[in-house]
Amino acid sequence: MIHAEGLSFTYATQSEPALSGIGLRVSAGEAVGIIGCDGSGKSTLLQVLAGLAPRLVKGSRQGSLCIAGLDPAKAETAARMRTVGLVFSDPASQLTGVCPTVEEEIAWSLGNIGESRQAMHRKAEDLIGRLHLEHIRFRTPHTLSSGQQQLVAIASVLILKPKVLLFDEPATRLDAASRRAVADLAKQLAREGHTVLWSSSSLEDVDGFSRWIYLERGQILYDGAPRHVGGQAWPAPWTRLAQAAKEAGKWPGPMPLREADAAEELRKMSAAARQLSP
Amino acid sequence: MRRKSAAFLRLDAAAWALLPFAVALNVVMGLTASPLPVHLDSLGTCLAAALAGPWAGMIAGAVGNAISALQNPIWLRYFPVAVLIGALVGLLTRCRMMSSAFLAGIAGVLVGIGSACIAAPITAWSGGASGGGTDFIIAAFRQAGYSRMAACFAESLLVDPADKMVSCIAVYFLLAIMPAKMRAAFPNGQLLQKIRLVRMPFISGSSQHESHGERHEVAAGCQKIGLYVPGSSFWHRATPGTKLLLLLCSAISLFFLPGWARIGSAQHLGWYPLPYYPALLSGLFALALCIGVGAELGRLLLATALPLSVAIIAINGIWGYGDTINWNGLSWSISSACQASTIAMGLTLVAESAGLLLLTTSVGDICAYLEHLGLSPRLTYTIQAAMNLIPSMQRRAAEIREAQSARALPAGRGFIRGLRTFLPTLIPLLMSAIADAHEKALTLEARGFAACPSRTRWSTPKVPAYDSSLQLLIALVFLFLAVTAHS
Repeated sequence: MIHAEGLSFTYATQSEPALSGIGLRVSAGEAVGIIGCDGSGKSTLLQVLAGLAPRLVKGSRQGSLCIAGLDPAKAETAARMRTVGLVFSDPASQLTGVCPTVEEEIAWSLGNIGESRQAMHRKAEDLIGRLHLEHIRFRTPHTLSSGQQQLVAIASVLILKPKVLLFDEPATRLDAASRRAVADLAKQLAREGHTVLWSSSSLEDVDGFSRWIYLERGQILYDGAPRHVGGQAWPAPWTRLAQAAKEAGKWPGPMPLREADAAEELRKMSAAARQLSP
Repeated sequence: MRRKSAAFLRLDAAAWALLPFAVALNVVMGLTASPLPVHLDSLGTCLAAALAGPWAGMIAGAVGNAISALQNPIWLRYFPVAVLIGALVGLLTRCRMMSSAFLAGIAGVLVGIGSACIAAPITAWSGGASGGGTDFIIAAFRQAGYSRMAACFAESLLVDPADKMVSCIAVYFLLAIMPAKMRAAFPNGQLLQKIRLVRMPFISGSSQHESHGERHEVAAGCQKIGLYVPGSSFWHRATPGTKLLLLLCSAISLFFLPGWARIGSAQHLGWYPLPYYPALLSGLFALALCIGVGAELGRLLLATALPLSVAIIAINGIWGYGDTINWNGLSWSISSACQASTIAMGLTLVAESAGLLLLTTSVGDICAYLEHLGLSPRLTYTIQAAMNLIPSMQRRAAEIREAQSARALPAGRGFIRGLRTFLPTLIPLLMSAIADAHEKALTLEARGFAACPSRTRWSTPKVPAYDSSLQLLIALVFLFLAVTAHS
């Protein structure tokens, strides 16, 4: 579905490339987590994949990129939007701010590419039912909570049925419950056949994704199974603690990638220690 | 064959995303009391023109003026001035006039002189008063013996260059401190790359001594923008087109409807009021009462048309020509006062018609109707997005002032002291607006905003059965008045 070879991007105002020599192959229906620190190139990569750079974000792109048979930087807007959809971190900025209801907000992109009014109504109706947004259907988008706004923003991208869905740190401004809801939706979309790329600076957000990519200074350093990337490339504090304990022979279980796994293992160890003590 | 779109529609998503923020900035600055002796209500226009070129500046000026007219419909007469300011700043930016503070100041003075050349004839033609505090300056020039046109020119040349100079300098400082990556995102980004980064000594923190000074008061609640009062009367349900027709007829009537008749011999000249304007004004007010917006229309006229009318009649009556009478210790020119009152009544009629439109139609409905008539959806997006941004920008301005106040920002009178107080508030507001515009540009592009010049709307405007009859009635009434007035 996504095939990038030697992909680099340099901003017009900078001499150093923000992305350098990216090679990426992602199959249809795959859910990939892109992790890295701030400034590692996650957002730039997603903007290049979405065709926004260098179309709107000024700069030069080298290398080849093919998503479902087209290069998003050269494709016509409608074709690009039907191939790649991008969800941003701030849901409020993704909403138009001019639509009086959620259903109109969701269908706004369809109007831009000249779909008929009947098609807009029908598709919005279907999507609202599918994502269970009936209870907020007639509400004004900017009066919703951040989590609800992010769901509306995702719906506004999904209405075009893009083959590839890119999430640029969509959980950054959400509370824990909303984070879970949005992440669950992304995983469900991957199961339904969409290719999902989700960027985050937190391992917790990409928990459950089949593949993780670790970016640093615009380059892919690790690409593979979560255990490999999470354990070696970018261990969380609890993973590092477990590694140190294992080296001292005091960590019997597997390396925990999530905080909850580490806590569970510590609970087990504590219970075992209580049983052994006289 | 693909239709070629108008030049202004070929702006990219970055420019269109910037425009609502620029317009909101214009309106917020117009509504905010500044410690400087200038309004800065064209700051957003200057910013849009500098970052995105003359077309963007012209659109920001036009839309900003239209939205300001929602508060005071009489401001709409300065529409050409707002557009000209955007065009001039955009063109001067192309001539590298935004590359240093000094050049930006000169650019501001040039823009001020240009805008004064358009604003002064408009003020002079519409009665010789603006309805604001600057009318005292016009009165002073009239007292000094200047004609109506000369007094308006002198006032505009005194006020406008200073106002535009401060706006252009503020925009220059913003461009100078803006990250190059952010600047490059806008159409003029390459042009502004060589702008010299400067240290701003007069806003770089406050000394211990100054921290004991007065503090800013945090702005009170945000002001409501727009006059719309929801309702279900026949006038509420009429299309915006019908209400716009009434406004158009009222504006045209300024050119043909007499207010007074001159009767008598050379020795005993007399001026007698004619019933046209009083009949129309009271008729429209009766309509407002019937549809439940009488109180709101009354308040609007008291706040906008009354001060302007008083200023027009006073300035022209006291410093007019022809027969005079003594009243309240002042010598009043009868013929000039009569002519001025005709202009005042005409402007009041326009304000009343505009009020009947704005009080009974939401901005969304007006935009939907204009888009239905063929106005670009990008322009209607700019209007609606700016309207929605204004309250949040007012809140943000209040938060910044509060934060600066907590940091013991100095306050006080005087131009330089005013600048020291004002720029630390203004620059974060401008920077956050630009950052938001940058992010909005990406999201608009991702959602296909720039895909095609026309757009499918979610719904079509509802047209009641009586709408065309109402339009015919309005046209016939004004036609009848025109015929009888000149027969």
